[in-house]
Amino acid sequence: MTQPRIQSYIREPAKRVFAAELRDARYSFREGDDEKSPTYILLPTGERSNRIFIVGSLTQKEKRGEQHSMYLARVADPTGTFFVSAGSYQPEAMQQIAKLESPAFVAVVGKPNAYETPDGNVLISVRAETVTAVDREMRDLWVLDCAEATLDRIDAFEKSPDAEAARREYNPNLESYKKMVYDALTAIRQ
Amino acid sequence: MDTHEITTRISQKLKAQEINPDLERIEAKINRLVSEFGVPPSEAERTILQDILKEHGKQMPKPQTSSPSDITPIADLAPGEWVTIEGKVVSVTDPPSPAVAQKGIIADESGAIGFVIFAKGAPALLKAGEWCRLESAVVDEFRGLANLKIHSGTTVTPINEDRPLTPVITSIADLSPGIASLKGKVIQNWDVRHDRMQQTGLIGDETGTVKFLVWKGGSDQQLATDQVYSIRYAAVEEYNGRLSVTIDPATCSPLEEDELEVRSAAPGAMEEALPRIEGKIISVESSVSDAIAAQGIIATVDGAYSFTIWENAGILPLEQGMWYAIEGARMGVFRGASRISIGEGAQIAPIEDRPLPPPPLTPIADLSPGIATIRVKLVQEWESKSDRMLQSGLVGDETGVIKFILWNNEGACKLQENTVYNFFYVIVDEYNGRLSVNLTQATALPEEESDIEVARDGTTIVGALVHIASGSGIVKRCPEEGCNRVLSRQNFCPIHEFKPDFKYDLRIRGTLDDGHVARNILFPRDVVESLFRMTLAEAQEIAENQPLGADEVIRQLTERALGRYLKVTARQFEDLFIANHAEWLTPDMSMHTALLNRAGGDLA
Repeated sequence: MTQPRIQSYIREPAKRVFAAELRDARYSFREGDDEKSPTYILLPTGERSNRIFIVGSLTQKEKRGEQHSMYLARVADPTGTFFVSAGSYQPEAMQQIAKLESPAFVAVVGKPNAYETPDGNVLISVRAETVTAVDREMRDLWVLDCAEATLDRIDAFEKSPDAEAARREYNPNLESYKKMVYDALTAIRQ
Repeated sequence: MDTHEITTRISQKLKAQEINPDLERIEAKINRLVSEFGVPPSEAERTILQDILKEHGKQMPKPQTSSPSDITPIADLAPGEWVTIEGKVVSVTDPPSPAVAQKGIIADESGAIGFVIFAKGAPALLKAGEWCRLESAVVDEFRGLANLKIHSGTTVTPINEDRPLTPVITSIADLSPGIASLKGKVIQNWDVRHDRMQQTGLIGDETGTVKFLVWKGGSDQQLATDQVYSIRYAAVEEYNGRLSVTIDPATCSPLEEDELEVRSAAPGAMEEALPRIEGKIISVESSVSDAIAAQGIIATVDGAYSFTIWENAGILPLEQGMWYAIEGARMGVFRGASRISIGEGAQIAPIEDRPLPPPPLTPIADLSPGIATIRVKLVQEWESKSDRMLQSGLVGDETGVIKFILWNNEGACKLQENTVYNFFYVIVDEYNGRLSVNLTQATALPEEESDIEVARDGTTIVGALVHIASGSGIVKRCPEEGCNRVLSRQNFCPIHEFKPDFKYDLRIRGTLDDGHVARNILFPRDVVESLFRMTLAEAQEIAENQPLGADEVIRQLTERALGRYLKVTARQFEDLFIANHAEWLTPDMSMHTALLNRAGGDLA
């Protein structure tokens, strides 16, 4: 029943990251010189991310452009807001956002991208690959999962191959990210 | 959350735009966003204001630039405003990252606020101790507190006079997040465990105690234990429901009065008091960290538990194999498992040796985080990834298999193949929804000439379904004996060509992602049927009778499965996992408690 398969590439896992941590990220880099090599956003807790998975509340959406239209959406988690976009290269994600009424719980898989704003700040936005409407229970599961993943990154910071870059670029106060995790967990307590 | 306050702010901004606010509606919207959808209050405020403005065909007002003469007292600054202030730079600290040029605190008679200057387009840096006037600075919010952003458009003018500035002293019990000045005595000096940290410890006054931190980059001065200081403009932060103050030693001046009577703090929450317990120390490890004097495993007649003895308990080392009576201990939950916490006020006394009933065996399938005794056999040995690890892999019994870890401790020896072991008091941990057993401290007892038939159902993986591949849903298969290939839309088999007498099948091919690894996964028909409560016959009915046909089936499955967490038992064939069983994951509140402890556990 299983035909021989050729593993052409290893899919990048979707990192779990809270909005407040992604907001602090600003450094992106590319592994290798190949045009096709993936671009990573370095998370302040010391891990690279080429794809992320988030579950939060869609609070606003906005359509931009007519011919090559795209959607911009704001998705809030307990720690802050993600800026999500979906254009004509992500038709399914765009149609999903178009269909949804805010507020709604959504699960988003997407690629983080760094943009520089006119006043010199770096903003991270998420180019959505898929968007689905979910419920509160899934949001709670995600907060637990993301909390654990963030704490694991903090605990393993010294051992991470990206720790040196993270220290150089962010000099992160890991305690404050622990506090962020704590606050996020408190927010989902019934 | 103060709904009323947010409602007031929104209404004021609406009135400024000549819109009559509907208070009840605004309040209902806030509750819906914040309580029902867990949106942070600041995001809810912004969303509601924008939505109402849009309804009235108006734009969000641009942040107003106040006229130069319009000086705002620091105490009145609110996030989102563009302001002009005059204040004294009371402290500056090294930038936390290359993107930031300077951070510090600026104060006037009314209060103080943290400021930040970003490296990009930074105006001149500020000098500690000098008064200055800042025009067009932006009040931002950083980690829940107001913060002043000085950017390329801000005009900084030095004021060449030293105006009087008297900070108001706040007692420790009255501290709240923000900037505060206090008077306190350094009562404990803790070891520094962060390379940016210069000093940390506990400071107290008559009303209570609070943790303090000194980051490197300021003055090298150390605060002396038992010395009373006047501390001006320290940053107060909240963490784990507890406050801490970040101190710049340059703003501290020692005071003569050393007779400050410090009130000690209350013990932590989330633990319940235990009655007197008697138990035997199965294993013990001393001096684990500054805060933890010892930890290990204790067995009582009712069961075995992990225990922690905190440094502040002032208890002498316990001996392995001895019996003790413990009073005043507490039972808490740590990483999903019950744990006895022995802290300040607890008492431990040695008692006479007594028989301990043999601990009951737990089948692998019934394990949960905590301490257990198991009877297993080595199933698989994994390549060791670290020198500290002696051996890891899978052990199993008649009910299932589980990952095990054996750390490279003195006296530890590897498990041998084809030997049945009884392991007394193993630690069962949970990680990413998967259990593992730590055999390092356990007593191993090999059995001679016995065997177990290990159940091997495959591995359990937990993750989010982040992708559904094409070829999922209802598919048509070639009916030829031994072929079973999926047909094209035109019922074409690559080997047997047109096959109008195809067989239907239902499946999902996708990616299950746990945040570390993205795995290819296949859910065959029986798993899809039970997971979605949709039979093949029902799927066929949709495919044949609905306008979208087979696309409608995959649409329905995608809507219900994509972006959801699943717990899957699967067998692995090369890089593909084939599910035997799958269920939707539900939130585990014991995991919630364990994570809260992990996120806040350091501050005990």
